[in-house]
Amino acid sequence: MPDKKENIPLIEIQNLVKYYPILGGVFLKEVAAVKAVDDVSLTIFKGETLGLVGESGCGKSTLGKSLLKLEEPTSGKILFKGEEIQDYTTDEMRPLRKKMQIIFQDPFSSLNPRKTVGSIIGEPMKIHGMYTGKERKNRVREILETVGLGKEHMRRYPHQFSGGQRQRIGVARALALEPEFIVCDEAVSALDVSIQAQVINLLKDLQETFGFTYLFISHDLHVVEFMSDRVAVMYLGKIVEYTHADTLYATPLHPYTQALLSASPVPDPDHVSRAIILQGDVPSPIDPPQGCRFHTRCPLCQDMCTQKSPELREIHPNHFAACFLL
Amino acid sequence: MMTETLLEIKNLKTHFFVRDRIAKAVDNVSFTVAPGATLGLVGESGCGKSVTAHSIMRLIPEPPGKIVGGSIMFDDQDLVKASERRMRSIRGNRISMIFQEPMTALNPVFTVGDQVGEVIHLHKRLSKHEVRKRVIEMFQRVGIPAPETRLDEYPHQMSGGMRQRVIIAMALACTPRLMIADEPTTALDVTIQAQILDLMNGLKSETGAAILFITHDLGVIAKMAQHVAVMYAGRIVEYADVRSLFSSPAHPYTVGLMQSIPVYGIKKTRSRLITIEGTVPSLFNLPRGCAFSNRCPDVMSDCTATEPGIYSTGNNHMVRCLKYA
Repeated sequence: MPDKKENIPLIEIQNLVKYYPILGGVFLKEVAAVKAVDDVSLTIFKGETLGLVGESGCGKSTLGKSLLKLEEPTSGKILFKGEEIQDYTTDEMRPLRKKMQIIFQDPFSSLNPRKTVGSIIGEPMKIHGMYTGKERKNRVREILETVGLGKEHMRRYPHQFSGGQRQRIGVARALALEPEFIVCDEAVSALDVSIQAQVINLLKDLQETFGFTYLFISHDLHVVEFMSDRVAVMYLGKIVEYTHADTLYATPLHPYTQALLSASPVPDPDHVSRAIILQGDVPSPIDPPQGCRFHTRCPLCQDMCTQKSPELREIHPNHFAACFLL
Repeated sequence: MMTETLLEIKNLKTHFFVRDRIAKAVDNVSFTVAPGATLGLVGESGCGKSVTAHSIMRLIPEPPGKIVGGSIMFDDQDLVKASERRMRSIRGNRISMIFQEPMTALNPVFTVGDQVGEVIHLHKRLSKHEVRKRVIEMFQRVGIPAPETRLDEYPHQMSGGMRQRVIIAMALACTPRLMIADEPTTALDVTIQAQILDLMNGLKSETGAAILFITHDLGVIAKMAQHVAVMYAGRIVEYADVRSLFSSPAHPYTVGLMQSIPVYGIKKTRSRLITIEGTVPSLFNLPRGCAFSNRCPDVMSDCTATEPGIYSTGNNHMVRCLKYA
């Protein structure tokens, strides 16, 4: 897809599948599977931010973790700079871990409460043998300054910080190894609006300075639009639409994207919403509906939607959607 | 502008006494809710919006908390002075509450039908059979499909959206005059949130109940409320009708809050969000003078010396800021 300076793919995923088996019976055989990610293909270009939106349980976090191999994918290919990494062992992954980092949602549970901030940020460097002794300390101090904290914070513990500051520590830890690619898994969702804006700006500043590539996972459509160059919308383990952020928000094609956008509240009392209110709940990923996974809630559902699953097709140049009606 | 009032809170002070320190979680809060209207209460975590709600219901754990001053007039009586017995007859009956977490607000060991039925049984003299009939009727009104069978289900058998419908059915069961909704959709997905907000608006016009709607989400407030009070560090810093608040926010905190949210298309005009510097101060350690003075972009020398009063910027738009003195 055009727009991004060079369009060099950094990450490519092809037909990625992640099922979690459900074991049952006397012999603990596999009786069913949670189809968290089901046949997803995506490309993330160097230097861009790819937004990934969807509601809870749609598989967006599993996708983020699988492509870092924090979850073992069931099948499919993951290419990092053209190198197939899906079958790599832990040892083979280790040198790559330096280049791919993740920032988690919850700034309370993702930091070890017994370690000082200095050692939380320093540890990844230690493991990867980057810098020694004093140099490492200086480096930690530098990183803290980059994320807007001071050197006096090095000897403090996570509980001594506010939520926003803790999220900055999470960002600092991801920066420690000088990565190229960072998965932001709901990185700003737990924060209050005024703090959320600070962290969003920080992530943008860092991208500009260091040329990071982000996979930005969030359920908040406004935040995703602001952060991303391109956006993929997920529903029940599948990508339903995938295009430039501007295009997606101006002319959403898939009925689910349209409903999602119209349902997201706009901070303007005079905004006339032609809200498409979807009926029912998201079906369980253990037993997803036959045919198109969205057909149970789709206002435009036709007969064929209940039988066949639509492929992701290029409807307009660089605008992909999975729906028969397009 | 004299209108009938349903709830009138005057100078409410709810403080928490922790060891030898005092956290003024709600400090001199006053507002009114008219019958059938929706008042939005917005603010970030820890600003005192939930404590205000719990004070109205008299659900403040004592100790450490205590309502140390002010009055809460509801139906010509002061709830601050009401006996526990009196409060019991009001809670769930005249004033009801919808909580944020539909997971924890329901008891996991009773069926949802029993839990909604209990409220009706407590406040109305109805036979078992009539209670069940009323529960089915309530479930229908909040859009729970197949109410006759779902009533015998346990909370864990329902989705988050369905559970929140049960909570709303429970809150509406005795046709209350006031519903306090404390972040009712925060835990829900966007498409489910849209369903619940739509339901609440429909039920409001149907039953004529007033709503005190507490949220941190300005988008939700714009959709739900007629009047809005913005809280910061235990105080109301701005009060206005919803249009006037969004078109001409006056308090620097409100202005900052609105600029902090990314809205569609904003990235065309700027690549960074405008933020409020710093963090919300601890209630134990508020700055002198105006509580917002340490983060305020428009701070003046007086702001750190005197606590601002409430000033009008016209048309029933009140703001607690020295800029408007």
